[in-house]
Amino acid sequence: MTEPCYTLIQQDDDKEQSTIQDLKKALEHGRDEQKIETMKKIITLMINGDPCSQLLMHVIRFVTPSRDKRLKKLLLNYWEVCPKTNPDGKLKQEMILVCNYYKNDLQHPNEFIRGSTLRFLCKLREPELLEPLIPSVRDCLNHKYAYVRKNAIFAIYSIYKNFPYLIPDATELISNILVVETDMSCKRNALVTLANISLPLAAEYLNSVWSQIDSFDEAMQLAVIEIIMKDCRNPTANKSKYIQCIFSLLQSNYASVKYDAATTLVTLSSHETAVKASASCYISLIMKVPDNNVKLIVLNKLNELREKHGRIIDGMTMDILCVLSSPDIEVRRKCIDIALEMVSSRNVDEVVSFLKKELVKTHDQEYERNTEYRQLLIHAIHTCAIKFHEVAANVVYVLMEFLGDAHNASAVDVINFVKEVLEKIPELRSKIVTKLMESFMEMKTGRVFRGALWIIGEYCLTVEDIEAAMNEIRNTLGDLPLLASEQRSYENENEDEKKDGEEKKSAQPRVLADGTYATESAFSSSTNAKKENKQKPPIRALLLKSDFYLGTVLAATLTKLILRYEELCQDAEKVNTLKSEAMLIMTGIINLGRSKFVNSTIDEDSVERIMTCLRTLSSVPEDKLLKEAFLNDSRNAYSQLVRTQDKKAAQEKELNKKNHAIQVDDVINFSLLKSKKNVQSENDEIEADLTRATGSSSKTAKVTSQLSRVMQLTGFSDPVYAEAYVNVHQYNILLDILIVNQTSETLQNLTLEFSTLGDLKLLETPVPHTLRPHGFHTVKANIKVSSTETGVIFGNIVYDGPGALDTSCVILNDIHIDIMDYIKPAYCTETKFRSMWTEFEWENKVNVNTNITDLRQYINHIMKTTNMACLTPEHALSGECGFLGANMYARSIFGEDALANICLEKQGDSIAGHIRIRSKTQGIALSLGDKITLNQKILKN
Amino acid sequence: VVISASVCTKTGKAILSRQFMDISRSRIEGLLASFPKLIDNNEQHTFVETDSVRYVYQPLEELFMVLITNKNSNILQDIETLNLFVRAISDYCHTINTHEIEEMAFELSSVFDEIVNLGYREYVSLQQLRTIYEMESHEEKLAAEIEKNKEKEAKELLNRKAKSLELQRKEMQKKMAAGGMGYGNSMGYGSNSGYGNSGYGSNSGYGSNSGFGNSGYGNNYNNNNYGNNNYGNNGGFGNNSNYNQNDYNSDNRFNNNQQQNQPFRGKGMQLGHKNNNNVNDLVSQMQEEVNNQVMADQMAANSPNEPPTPTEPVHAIISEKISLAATHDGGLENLEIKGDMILRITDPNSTRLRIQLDNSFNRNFQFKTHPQVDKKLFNSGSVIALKDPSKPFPVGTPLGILKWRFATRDESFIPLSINCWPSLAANGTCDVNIEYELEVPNITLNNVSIIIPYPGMGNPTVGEVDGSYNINHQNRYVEWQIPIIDADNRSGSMEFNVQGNDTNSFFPVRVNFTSSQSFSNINVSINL
Repeated sequence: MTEPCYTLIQQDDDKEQSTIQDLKKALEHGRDEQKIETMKKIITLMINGDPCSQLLMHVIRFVTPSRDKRLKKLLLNYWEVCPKTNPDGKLKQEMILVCNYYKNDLQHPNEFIRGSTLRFLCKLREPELLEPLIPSVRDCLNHKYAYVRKNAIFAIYSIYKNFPYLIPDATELISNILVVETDMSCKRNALVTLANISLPLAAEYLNSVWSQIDSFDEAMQLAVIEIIMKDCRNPTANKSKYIQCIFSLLQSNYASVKYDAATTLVTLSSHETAVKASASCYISLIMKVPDNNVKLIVLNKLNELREKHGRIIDGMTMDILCVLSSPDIEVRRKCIDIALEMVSSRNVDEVVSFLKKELVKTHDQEYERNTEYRQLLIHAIHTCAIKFHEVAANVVYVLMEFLGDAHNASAVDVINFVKEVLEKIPELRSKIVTKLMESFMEMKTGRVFRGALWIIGEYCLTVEDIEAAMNEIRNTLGDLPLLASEQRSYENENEDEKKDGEEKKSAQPRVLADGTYATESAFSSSTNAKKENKQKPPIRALLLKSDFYLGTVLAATLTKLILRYEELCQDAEKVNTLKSEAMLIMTGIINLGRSKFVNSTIDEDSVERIMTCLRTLSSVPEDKLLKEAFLNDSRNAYSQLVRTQDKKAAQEKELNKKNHAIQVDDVINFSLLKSKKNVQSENDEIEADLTRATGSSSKTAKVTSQLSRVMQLTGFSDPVYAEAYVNVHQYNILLDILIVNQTSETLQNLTLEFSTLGDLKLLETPVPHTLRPHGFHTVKANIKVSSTETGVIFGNIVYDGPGALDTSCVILNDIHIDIMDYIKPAYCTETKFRSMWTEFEWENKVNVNTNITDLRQYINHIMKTTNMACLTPEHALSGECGFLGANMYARSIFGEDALANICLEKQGDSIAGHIRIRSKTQGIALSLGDKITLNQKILKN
Repeated sequence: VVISASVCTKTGKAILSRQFMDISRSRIEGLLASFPKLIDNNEQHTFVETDSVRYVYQPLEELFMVLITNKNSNILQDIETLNLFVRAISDYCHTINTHEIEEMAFELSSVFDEIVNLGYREYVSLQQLRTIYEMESHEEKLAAEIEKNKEKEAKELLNRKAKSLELQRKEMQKKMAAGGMGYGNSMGYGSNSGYGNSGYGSNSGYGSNSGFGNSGYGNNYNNNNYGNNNYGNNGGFGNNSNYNQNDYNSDNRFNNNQQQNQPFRGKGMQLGHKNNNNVNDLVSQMQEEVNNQVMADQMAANSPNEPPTPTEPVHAIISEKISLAATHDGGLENLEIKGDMILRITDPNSTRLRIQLDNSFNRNFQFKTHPQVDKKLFNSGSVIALKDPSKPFPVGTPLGILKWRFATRDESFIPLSINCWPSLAANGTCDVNIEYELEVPNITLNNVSIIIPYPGMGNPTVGEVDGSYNINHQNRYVEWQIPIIDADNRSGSMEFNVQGNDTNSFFPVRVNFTSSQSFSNINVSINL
């Protein structure tokens, strides 16, 4: 692992950089104030990569003697970043002087100087330097001030951790301190230290203080929990005592303690009471802590608990739902998600009634993002009702109140729900249909109407129903015939307002969902505004707004109603009246569509569809086939859809179950007989979490794969041969470069210089080396990457030959950084994809030019080479036809999104089409395009 | 645990970042760089999680304060920590912008260190942070004080030695001028304190002034004494005594000049003589010690040019202390006289010598000689010489060669008798009459001070008095000072009145004095 880094400070690039000479001078002559400024400059320089090694002696000579406290603090910062060893790994001589300085500071009468020096010692990794300081550190353990003691304890801890031989008796030392110490923060530090260096002693200590734990302060209680967490894997651990202790800590005054206790409790025991206690503790935390972050994270924890322990906490669903009182939509969403997972047949009634109550509240209470919340609730109820049919009847009426909701999504959700209920629960049909017709006038959007009309068309099965339905439709349409009445009202208005000039039309292009361009026109005259002011029946208004799709649905509904009426009703006169009325409506729609009253004229598809309906109604004798198609087929199709959906859900469930299922030859884990090893792995997971976070986990790549990454940088006949092993970490690239002197002369001042193209940055400035004849040397160069872009690293090697003047230079091969190391496949919803697609500015269009002949194979190939994930579902891609379209998505580790859309057509033996890549920044779109162009042709066998 | 606390820009560039765990630079920079891309401004929560870390953040105007923690970290604690960080930043920076943070980067990073230690939260308040930041330590001040005092002491020691040697040289010159008189004009001074008994040495201040008998001086001195009661140097008073000191010094020099031309070669002789009654009063001793320091300090300041080594090649110092305790009806509890003679030789050529003592000394005393001194010779002829005549006396180091002691309960040996007579008067006050009388007529006592404690809260009113007096309100005693008591001036009295009704509370009375004569009459006979 590379050197740890403790401080980052931005360097102000605008300021003039001082030279080393200036800094030296300032240190030599300056007073304390000036020295402080200079030290700040030096440290900032060093943090940002300039080693400033010439300054070390100056600092020692001119800064260390100062008594100024600020200088002392800065010096500690300086020692942190100052390289303490020579390149060969040996301690610098000067450091001996510094060591004495440390020692003096450790004995300094000022407790704060002692303390901060002790803290610095935690970061010192040179045993040679630490060794002479040990006695002073030990003395500090008995210092009068807690501030010194607590830092001394941590110093002992980190010294012992790194070099146990320096303080062989650290464990006893600390445990003794623990007994005699009275200051809580020192005690905490000692306990934490003990937990890390000698768990048994820590446990022993715990055993002696059980009764006092409740009176400890927050930090101590947390430390106690940490020990219990760590020690519970120990086979000899006093588990029952631990559990008892944790249980009492659940009642702690400190929220953070409660949280940790709840987490620990479930790792200690998976008994039902433990899980329940832990869950209820979580819930009370969510209720009590006002911070949204806390709520969300605790909800996550709760969800984990639910996943792990399944049904045990289902009884608490209602408690969880109480969290809905929190105003943040994100919290509510998460809460509902969890609650829905926990719904069972036992509590579904309660849950639904609660949700219903909440839903009603959205009417009369002003929440932030109210509509979103309402949608959330409706969706939740919907989900419940689908899962448990018995509640559907209960909720469907409530939900239907929201059919008139202006917000599209929730109303659509409701109408879909109603559809599904009708299909699944036949006994509700007539009631719902009546209710639906009652709320007909309140509906606002075309989509809702379409759904409602379809329902009426399918489920109005009695004469009365059909008549009522016709009545409603008439109401929603207004005066008939459509065109004539419009004409009339228009003329009336014209008479009223003669001054109104011609209506201006403005047109603007618009992209339709299917990707075609359409022209949308809008009246922009004042008359138009007036017209809209006038209350028009809803469907009529929609038709005037050119929603002819609604017109076709209306026509189909009418056809169905009439056909059914014909079957049911014997009264031919009535049938004919209705039939003629229906036909009048249909022709009216077409006429209206072709008139000047609508924004855009009716499209051919709709006309054709309406004409079909007209023909069906007017054909005598009846066309059996058509009738059949109208009356039964669409319904059958729907029920088939519902069935497949159910099936799919069932399949998914099955799949989940399968995942849970244990294979025949798997080892069965009895919790009672669980081997300690398994428990350990669970706990190691917790520690691994930290390692992962600090990024110190070392990937052990295979040697062979390492070799494949070696790049030759110079030729074999060059005086200097160099090759690099490119090691790509998450955010940086480590170049491990081997340099070989191929001449028989000593090469002096051999420097490896790099410059970069793209979003790359070299972290360190290179240091010159001297290379003996035929000698070799390895250099490491760290390059920082900050965005996904094709990066190129150029370099050259400069060295002095034997003569003073001959400086030679060898140019290195360019190193290209493969962006694929940074792109990871990712998934997002289709809507998100669409919104990003319209939002992103950069598009790169690549034409397909490949020797692959199979469409699917091509897509798979692209996915593999670009590391993108396919968003288009499998069933949409399956099947054989000459076309294929797919969306792909990926995300870089820097958080950049990359979108791609592939449109392919099979033309004979070859594939034609193009791939469009979109991203927020140019770099990633270009790089991905290049990648595809390069790779699409090459197909390895 | 908190891995890192950073202040970064909206683009994820760290302006200041402090890590509490070992983490590589590129990793932390990468984490911070990807942070702004992860957050969504519309959300009402301020944390994001990736698969390895959790960021908890708070917007700071144009910047972000971000904590990076591991995912198992205790969020409740982290939120609190974050709040503390933010408050600390706004406490130390007036406006929160890139520039200001850069300016304060080092100060802030040290504050960050106080909030989180090795990833663990420290429970500190802003107030405590401020204290730690300022690093004001009482301990340090105390240590600095001690350091200063030590330095002072060392200087004082040096100066005192120099002074004593200077004086000795002058003595010698005077002696020479006096034509070998047994003992004449000798200054009682405190050089003996340099050689050991600092408790008694403390009286040297009196001694050194005794030659002048200046009551004004005494007053000053005692003021000084009073002012310095607790500790520390009171500049004003210090100057007063300093002034007198200067006078004194110049006088000395005058003497010195007078006799400068006279050749001298011989044995210097010094006498110091002290009597203490009831010396076990710790308070007054301490006071005097401090005073002593002050004096010496000033001496050092005023006479830095004095030679550090004695000019006399052979130097003998005789000092004697007398202490006695008597009951207040006049009976003697005990009387003890202790004396010693110290020889210091600086001339390597004069190391083989004998010292002839005057034969007139009191044989009743117990004498002890240095083990290497020939005891027989001393007993038979009062001559001090080494047993082995070929061996020289050591050069440069003072050597005690003779000690004597005398203890008795015979009341006739009391040099000065004190009669303290408190009597109850009307309205709850006490009249105190006190008188002294010199019992041994042939000695002279210099700078006598008689200290009478008084009770109660009131201030004593002093009536008739011979000599001068001084009232120490803090320690509640009356100090009666008589510059000189000798055969011509053998008795005196004082009376004062003070609130109080306990006559016993006027005891014990303490008496200090110095004398240029020794009780034992030991003298080096000068044979030129």
